[in-house]
This record gives sequence, C-alpha cells and structure tokens, in this order.
Amino acid sequence: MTDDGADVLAAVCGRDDPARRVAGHEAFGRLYERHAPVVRALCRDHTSADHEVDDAVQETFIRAYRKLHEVQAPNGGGFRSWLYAIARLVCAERRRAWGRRAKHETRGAEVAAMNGHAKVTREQGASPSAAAASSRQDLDRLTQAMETLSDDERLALHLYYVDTDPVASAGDALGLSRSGFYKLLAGAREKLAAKMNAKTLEQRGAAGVNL
Amino acid sequence: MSQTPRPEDFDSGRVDDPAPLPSGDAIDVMLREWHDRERVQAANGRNALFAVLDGVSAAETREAESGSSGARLHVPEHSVLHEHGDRPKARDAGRRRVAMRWVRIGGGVCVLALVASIALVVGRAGRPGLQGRLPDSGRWDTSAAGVPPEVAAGRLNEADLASVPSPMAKMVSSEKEAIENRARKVLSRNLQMIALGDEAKREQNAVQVRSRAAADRRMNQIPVTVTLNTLDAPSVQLLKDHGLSNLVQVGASNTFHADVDEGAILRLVQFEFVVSMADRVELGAAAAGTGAASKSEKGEASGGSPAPAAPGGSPKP
Repeated sequence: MTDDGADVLAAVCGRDDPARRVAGHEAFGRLYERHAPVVRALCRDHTSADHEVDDAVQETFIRAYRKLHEVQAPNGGGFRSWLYAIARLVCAERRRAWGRRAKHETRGAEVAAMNGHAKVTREQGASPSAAAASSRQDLDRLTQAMETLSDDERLALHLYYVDTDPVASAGDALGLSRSGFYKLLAGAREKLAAKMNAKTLEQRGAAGVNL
Repeated sequence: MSQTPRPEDFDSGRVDDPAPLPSGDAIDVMLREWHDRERVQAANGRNALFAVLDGVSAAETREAESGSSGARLHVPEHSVLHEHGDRPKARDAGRRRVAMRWVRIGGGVCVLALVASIALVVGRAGRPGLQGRLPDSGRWDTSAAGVPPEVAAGRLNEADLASVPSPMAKMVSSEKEAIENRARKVLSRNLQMIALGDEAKREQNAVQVRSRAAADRRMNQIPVTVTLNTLDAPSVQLLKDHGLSNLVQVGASNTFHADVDEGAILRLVQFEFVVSMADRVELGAAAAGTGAASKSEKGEASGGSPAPAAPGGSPKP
C-alpha cells in the first residue's frame, strides 16, 4: 500500500470513529502536506488572487475529507488524480461565482461612486519595495504565461517543481512514463520560455514608448 | 548548462532514461520561485483548514453524543465553502422556485379534481332515474321500474287502477311469457296447484298446468282449477279482491279452490305487481315526508276495492 493509501485509510477511520480522530487528522495532515502545493498551483492557474486560491484549496480538501471513502483504489493509488479532479471542479465552480461576484462588486462600486463615497479598491496594504514589486510582476507574468499551457502541461510542471517524486506522481496522475513526462515537460518549458520572451519584448517596447 | 532533452530523443530511444531537466536557466528559476511561493502559502493554509475540520469533528461528536439520530452531521457545504459567494442564496432561491412550482401544480390538480367531482354530482342529480330521487320533490323515481307515475306519486289508489292501462297491455309476447313464468313460480311457491273435479278431470287439469308450465299457450282456452293451501284469511280476501272471486274454502281445511284462467293469472301477476307497487309507493311517500301509507295499500288491506280490469281476459264474477 502506498503512503497515500495508508493515510487515506487512517483518515477515513479517524473520520468515522471518534476514538481515532486524532490519528485520522494526522494522516489527513500528511496528505495535505504532500499534495497541497500541487493543488494550490492548480488553483492558482484559475485565479491570481491569493485569498481566492486559499479558499479554493481549503474547499478542495474539505470536500476530499468528506468524500474520502469514495477513493476507489484500495491502496489509495488513485487519490492523487481524484484530488486533482476535485480541485479542478472546485475551481470551475468558484470561477463562475467569481464572475457573478465581480459583476455585483462592480455595480456596488459604481453605486458608491455615484453616492460620493471613496472609491473601492481591492489593493490593500503597504506598498511593496521595488525589488519585491519587480519579482511579483515577473511571477504574475509567469502565471499569465502558464495559462496558455494545457492542463497536462501545467500539472507536469507543478509536479516537477513541487513533488518529491515527480516521475511516479506523473505516472499516477497523468499516466505517463518517465520519457513521456520529460517530453511533456520539455515542451511546456519551451512554450513558457517563448511566451515569457515575447512578453518581455512587449514590456520593453512599452517602456520605450513611455520613456 | 546541460542540453535540454529533445522530444525526438525520447521517441527515438536514444535516451532511455532521460536526465532531469536543466536547471539554472531563467525560466527554471522563475518556475522554482513561483512554486516555492505556492508551497509556502499552502503550508500557511494548513492551520485554517484543520480549524475547519476540527469544528466539523466537534459538531459531529456533539451530534453523536446527543444520540438523536446516530447519523453523521450534515455539514452545510455552503456555510463552510462559500464564505464570499452568493451561491447559497441563489441555490436556495432556485429550490424555493421549484418548490413553489410543484405547489402550484398540485393545487391546480386538486382544484380540477374538486370541480370535476362537483360537476359529476350535479350532473347525476339532474338526470332522474339514475339518481333515484327527483330533485324537486324528493320522491323516489320509480318510473324506470315500470310503475305508472301516478301510482308512484300516490295520486291513484287501487280502485283507480282500472283506468290505468296495465303494464301487461304494453308488453310484447316475450315479456308476457316472462311474466307468466314468474307468476308460475309465485304460484308454485305460495299456492299448491292441483286439478280439481273428478279424477279424470283432475288429471287432465294437472297435465294442463304442467303443459302450461312448458309454455303451452293453450291455457288461453282451458280454465285451470287450483287449490290454494297455507293461506290465512287476509291473504284469501286479498286474492278474492284481485280476481280469484271464485276462491272457496274446502270444508274446515286450509284448502281453497279457484278456477284460474289467463286473466286470473295476469291479475295475480298484477296483484303481486300492485303489492310491489304499494311497497314502492309507501317508500316514496315515506321518503317524501308525507308519512301516511299509500291509498293503494290501504285499499288492499280493507279488501273492499273492486278488482282491476283484467287486460288479458274477463274477470270471474
């Protein structure tokens, strides 16, 4: 049985049996630590707002906790792809909610502006330093560039940079061999590099115009 | 910096065990930074997640200890999962709309069923003969059973029946035959029919009776003599009043003699019919609230009313 399988079993037992609740939470905590970065990266692909990503990750794991008994493979082998599917579903649902909420917020901001109130802004907190701002801009550009990749390519990148055993994880989640996984990764990186270079050229051009 | 493996390197089999991707280039650094940031933020979210799960577990524990149903607590998904969105409101509104739609459909079906049942009752009340009660007077409608409406209404007594065309006159032969068969059954049940006179005559008349029972129509020409047994005095008087005028008692016994022809039989049939009519008239009068018994029944009981005209033959003096 894999680590996931043992932890899933312990978490299910802990959820259903109050006497084993502590052990179950510890097992589910291990599952969280093992998979949360990839899940978060998957959710990040759908939105750039940190609090939205936080909510999506939390919702994904709460749903998984409540549906743990539905993991079909007895050894927990399918847990990773099952969890990623939940994350994609949650993100799809929340994206629709985000669209509705953005519409309401826009309308509320217009009403507030008409009533003479202060303009509602979503950027809050102290202004970051220049270096941090530059780094954040680069990461935001990278996020935008990653949106052009396919789901498999994004997941392959996340697994490669987050997971401790990316090849095995890719075989589990994507059904790829080692060669296929690296082939997919190489293509994704080339696409990203091309996209980032193009964006850099665009920004430099825009900066030259501004100067 | 190592060379990035090309896809064709994997496909051609030259690289069976490809090395990890080259690290240190710009895109690799950015990707690593990007994922480090996600890893840190994921670790930060662990406490929030388990705070929620602990709350769920505590609620389930309280539910289990209360022992109300033994079922797991149903955590409202939207109370936990949709802190910012308007999904719960939208979903509740949708459920309310669906529920109200079904309520409207059910109400419409109930109203339609109520209207249909009312229309059915009203329609039946407007059709005499089906309901059995006239809507205006409340009397039983017995016309459908062949009783003259005047008798049914109690406006005619037994004496007036002479002026009322007998139902037998309106009957076709098959119906008459059915009535006669019925009369024979009545006679065989209540009266003992044997031939009178000398032995030869008696035997002959008995044959006549039996042959008439076999639907021999010769009873129209040959009178039949019957002996009536087990009749009490009121019944005998009643039979005399209804055509068996030659009914005589034999000695002190309970045996009576009478010559019966077709007309007498028909009168007997009619007598039975009148009795049944009287019952019905009485029922109708009682139902109408008039209280008193019908005139026809009173006339029969007194025995003084003349015999009705025989539709099929002349009555005996």
